[in-house]
Amino acid sequence: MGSRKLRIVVMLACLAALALLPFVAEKFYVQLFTKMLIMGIFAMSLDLLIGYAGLVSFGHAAYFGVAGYVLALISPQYAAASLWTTLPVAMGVSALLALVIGALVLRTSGIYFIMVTLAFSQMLFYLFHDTKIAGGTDGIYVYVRPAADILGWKPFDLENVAHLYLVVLALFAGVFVLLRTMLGSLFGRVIEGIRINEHRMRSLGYPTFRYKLACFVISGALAGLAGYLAAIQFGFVNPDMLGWHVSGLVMMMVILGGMGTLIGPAVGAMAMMLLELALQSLPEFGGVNFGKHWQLFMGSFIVLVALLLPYGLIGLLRARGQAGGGNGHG
Amino acid sequence: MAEPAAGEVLLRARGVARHFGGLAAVNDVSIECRMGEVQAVIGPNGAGKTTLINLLSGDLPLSSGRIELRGRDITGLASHQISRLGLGRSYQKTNVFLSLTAFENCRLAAQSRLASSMRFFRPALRYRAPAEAAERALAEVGLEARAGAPLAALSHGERRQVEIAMTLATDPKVLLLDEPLAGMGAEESARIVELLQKLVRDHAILLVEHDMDAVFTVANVLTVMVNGSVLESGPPKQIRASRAVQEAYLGTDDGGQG
Repeated sequence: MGSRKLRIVVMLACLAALALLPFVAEKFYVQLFTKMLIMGIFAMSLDLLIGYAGLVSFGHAAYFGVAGYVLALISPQYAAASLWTTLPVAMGVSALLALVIGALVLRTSGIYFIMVTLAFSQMLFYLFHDTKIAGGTDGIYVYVRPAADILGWKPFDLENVAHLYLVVLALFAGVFVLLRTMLGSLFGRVIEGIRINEHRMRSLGYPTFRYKLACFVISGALAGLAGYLAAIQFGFVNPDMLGWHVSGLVMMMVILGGMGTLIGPAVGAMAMMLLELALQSLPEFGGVNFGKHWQLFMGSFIVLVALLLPYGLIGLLRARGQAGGGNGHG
Repeated sequence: MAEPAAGEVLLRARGVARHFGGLAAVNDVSIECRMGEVQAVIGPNGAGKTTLINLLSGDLPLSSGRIELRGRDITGLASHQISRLGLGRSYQKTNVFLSLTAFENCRLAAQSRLASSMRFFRPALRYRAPAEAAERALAEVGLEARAGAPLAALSHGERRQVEIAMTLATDPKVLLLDEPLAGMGAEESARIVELLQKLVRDHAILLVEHDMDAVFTVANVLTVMVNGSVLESGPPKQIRASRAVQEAYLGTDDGGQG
């Protein structure tokens, strides 16, 4: 059973390497990795729904975007809000939104579930897009990042690039451990059972709706955490944060990375963003600017992964790991 | 709740009916299951036996009628509520968790008897009761040797055994078994018949089954259904001798059920 221990060691090593990044890398890369880790949190939150509970939500941007908007709306314009109050409020609003939307959409399943989750997030998109309640299409700026002061003591400063990165990294690791723990609990077994055969779960005595709703709310709150961090990093929020485009992007990260593995979607998020950057810097060749048309190559990459890697990018590692060390298990 | 006495009616359905459009799949059926008895329901295909079980277990809503479980009105309750009140069922079409092992299937079934599974932090492995109940249930159907095998790797007959073990793992008082022997080999069948004879001592069992040898071996009461209605109900001797049953079901050509 060394494989489990080995995996933990590898993960801790990766975490340590990531923690060293701000001390060795340029600011640009630290910011890029901050963004990647935030999207990694977002992707893991969606994996809980898609990969573990079998609930294919196509409206996950709603909870991501709303938390960002909450931060922008409750922050004073030229002074710092407190991290310790705005973060719980932002996540709480996302959770509440997930509770209300979940209570309605979880009455449907399959393709209808996909459609209604999309419909609700689009409703929210147009609410922010077409009304002036939060800056309309322009969105709102978050001029000053929340302060982390506790009774005069300042444990870290989010205006500092390295500090923000390390805080995001710690939250990323925290979310991973939290979800892993949950998936190994009684609750985790129930949502797995619901994914495989919900009808049988009901006849075994499980009130499945309640469990799905709890899962939906937890996932929404964690998406809210990601949205809150994104709003801090970019310094503004706009309706695009809530749109189907973002929902589709995060879903692609989940599927590309390998759904139902937690770490896969996080890797998928990072891979897609690194690849985007690499493709954008493709040179001009024969009068064609390849970098400008990077989405063409990204599309091809996604098609290739979908065709060749049924278990996503993380499936590559798994297959190799099993071929190497898993022979004795038969 | 106190242990019910032998002969006590645990499940009582009165005038239950289910219509699908104009079709009366089950029409005004009244039936009782008593502690310590096997109530067998037999009838030709399409007689409404499985629909009746679906009504009793709450898988399907009633069109009319009333159902009581241990004296309590359960009409209109959801299947998960009925399950928690002590009614367990198995399915005619194997209804299991294919990607889990036999043991995990039964453990998940037994976990449903914990007060709540809204437990997010404590590792599930620390809860011993579901694992022990799962082991017992698998041993009862004679499948302990296959506990660790994923269901996808089990034979059809073995999956049928898991289906029954899952039902037992929820520790029900009333068992609704929908063709438990279908697809089993002779040896497995004999084992399950033996198990039924043991289980009946402290359960009320409603058995839908096409294997007439098994039915007449274990049943205390037989109810014959035809076209959604009860044709006749009584002890095996009476049913065997009934002319109406002969004509409607067992067929005129004596041997009937090969």
